[in-house]
Amino acid sequence: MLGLIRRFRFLLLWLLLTGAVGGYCYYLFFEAEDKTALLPGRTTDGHHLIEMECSACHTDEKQENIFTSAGVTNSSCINCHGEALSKFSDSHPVRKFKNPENAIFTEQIDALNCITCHGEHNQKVTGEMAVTVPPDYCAHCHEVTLENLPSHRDLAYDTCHTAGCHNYHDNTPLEPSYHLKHYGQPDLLPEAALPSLASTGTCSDPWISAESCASCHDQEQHDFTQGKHGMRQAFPDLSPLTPAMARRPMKPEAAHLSMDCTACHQPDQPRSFAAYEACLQCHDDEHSRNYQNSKHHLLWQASLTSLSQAANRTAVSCATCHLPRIEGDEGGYRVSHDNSANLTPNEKMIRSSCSHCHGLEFTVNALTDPDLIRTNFDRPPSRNHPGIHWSADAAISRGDEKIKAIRAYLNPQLEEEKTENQP
Amino acid sequence: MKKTHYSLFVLGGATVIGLSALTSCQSDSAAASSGGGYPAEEVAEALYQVLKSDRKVYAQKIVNRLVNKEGVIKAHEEWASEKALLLPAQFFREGAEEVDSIEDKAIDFTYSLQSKWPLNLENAKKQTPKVKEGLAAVSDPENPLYGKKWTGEEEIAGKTYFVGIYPDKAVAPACWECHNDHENRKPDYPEFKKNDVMGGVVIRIPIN
Repeated sequence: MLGLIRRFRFLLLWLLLTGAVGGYCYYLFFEAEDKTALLPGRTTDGHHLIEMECSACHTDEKQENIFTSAGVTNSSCINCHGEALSKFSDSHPVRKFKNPENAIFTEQIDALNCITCHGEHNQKVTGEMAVTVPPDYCAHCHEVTLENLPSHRDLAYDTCHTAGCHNYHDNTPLEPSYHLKHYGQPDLLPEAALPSLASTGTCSDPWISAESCASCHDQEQHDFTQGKHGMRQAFPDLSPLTPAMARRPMKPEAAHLSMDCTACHQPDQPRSFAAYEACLQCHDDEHSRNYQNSKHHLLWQASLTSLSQAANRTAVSCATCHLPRIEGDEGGYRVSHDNSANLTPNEKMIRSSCSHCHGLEFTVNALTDPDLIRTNFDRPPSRNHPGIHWSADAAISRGDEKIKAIRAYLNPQLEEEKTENQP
Repeated sequence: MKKTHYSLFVLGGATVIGLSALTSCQSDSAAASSGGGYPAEEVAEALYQVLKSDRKVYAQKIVNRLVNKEGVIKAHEEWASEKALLLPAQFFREGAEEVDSIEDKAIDFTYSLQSKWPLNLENAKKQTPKVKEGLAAVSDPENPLYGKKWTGEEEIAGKTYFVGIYPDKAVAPACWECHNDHENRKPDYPEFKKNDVMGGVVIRIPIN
């Protein structure tokens, strides 16, 4: 017997190894609940909550190259991101590059395919906004502009979209005309207040489940599934999000909580609970923890003890910034329940949230300061972002008298020096 | 009926081919056919008539009337955020991009508005040698093709295209005022006035 084993030891070892590997694969594919071992690499922050729903991205459409696209087509991306992209004027839609005259640019960077810039499962090369190409990608097409704009000549190509100046898709908060429209605003606007909501009625029905809420609040339910809080609910095979799944710091005691409507809108809590206390049940990062030390929180506390509607419109909770009041399709304002819509890049928050109360320059200076974000804006910004001034310089150079007058009012000394230096 | 229609179309195409041999500086492109079997130049000509008409209506009856005459709305480069009308050139480009987004067109084609004096520097960069040649011809008052069409062929990324360049004239003050006052305008750009050729409609059709 021992002789037989010795004689066929390599065959037996091979059979044993094959059986073990086969058994592990069977377990992974058919038995295991956690299938993350099958992933070819760490998924980006935007997708990791649905990383087990492979077919969300890897569709059955034509796979031109299994090693580079693996069935991930533009429509795979648009299925989920199309609605968000359609809400603003996308600066670089794919259709912009289809004309063959753009070949000079698309030969440098294939802007016709989402996955050219947004690869997946490749942590080593993944940058902000899940971009997987080198950060100087703007230069492929805009080099000529950079070289010709006097204000931009000394700038590095990788700063276009990393310095709070430009965004590839949603550039609306950063347009020069927006800069000029809000040039010279004070830090705190005299009329600082949130827009009134079209509906402030209370819900008398029992709060049982997402389905029961959606019977009346279908728009809010839809919004919810567009953001990270609710994105898993868009896939029937996935369970609702729990804080245990998150990559951001969360409180261990909340790890089991299920993210549905009642996680924030709790039946035994006042309506205001959903605006801030509900968030701090789970979120445990520095920005969240520091909210209670911020001036925004002081305003929130003041609103709780005041009966006036005005105080309610100047209170700032987590939801004020992260679930902003947006214009509804049928007029009036409603609360957006898509918690990701204005989160990244944070310039998206300028129009939807900050601009209700703060001047543009103050806002941009604050949002481009990571320390200030970490401390939850515990002090006024000390940085000075140059973008707005460049827009003003350009306007003045083309004879914009209004901007010139604002500049003279803001910087009388500077204007006096200029006048003195004139021949 | 369909056969007769097709014969007439082919006959019309042959006529245009004959005429274009006389008027075009690049007659070799005239015989090229589009993906749909129609002569490329004839398809381009038909497209140009539609584009020119729509562009004129938008510039004169929408932008000029509502912005300059009645003053009820403005036209702005950042039209979405300014809740304004699109500038005429943007309206044209949006339409071109809509066409580009249609998959499986019966006849494949693209079009764009370009100029020898571009305000958008990226637009200048992507002008091919043929487009530069055509724009120079239709925009230069000294050239016999000034204000007429220019046709040719070019190869881009391994594919051959018919290229038709048709004059784009200043039809409304909104056009020339914006270009004459634009901050990107270079010192050597001309001061445009009514009916000046400001650029060209570039139509490309892949040919067999």
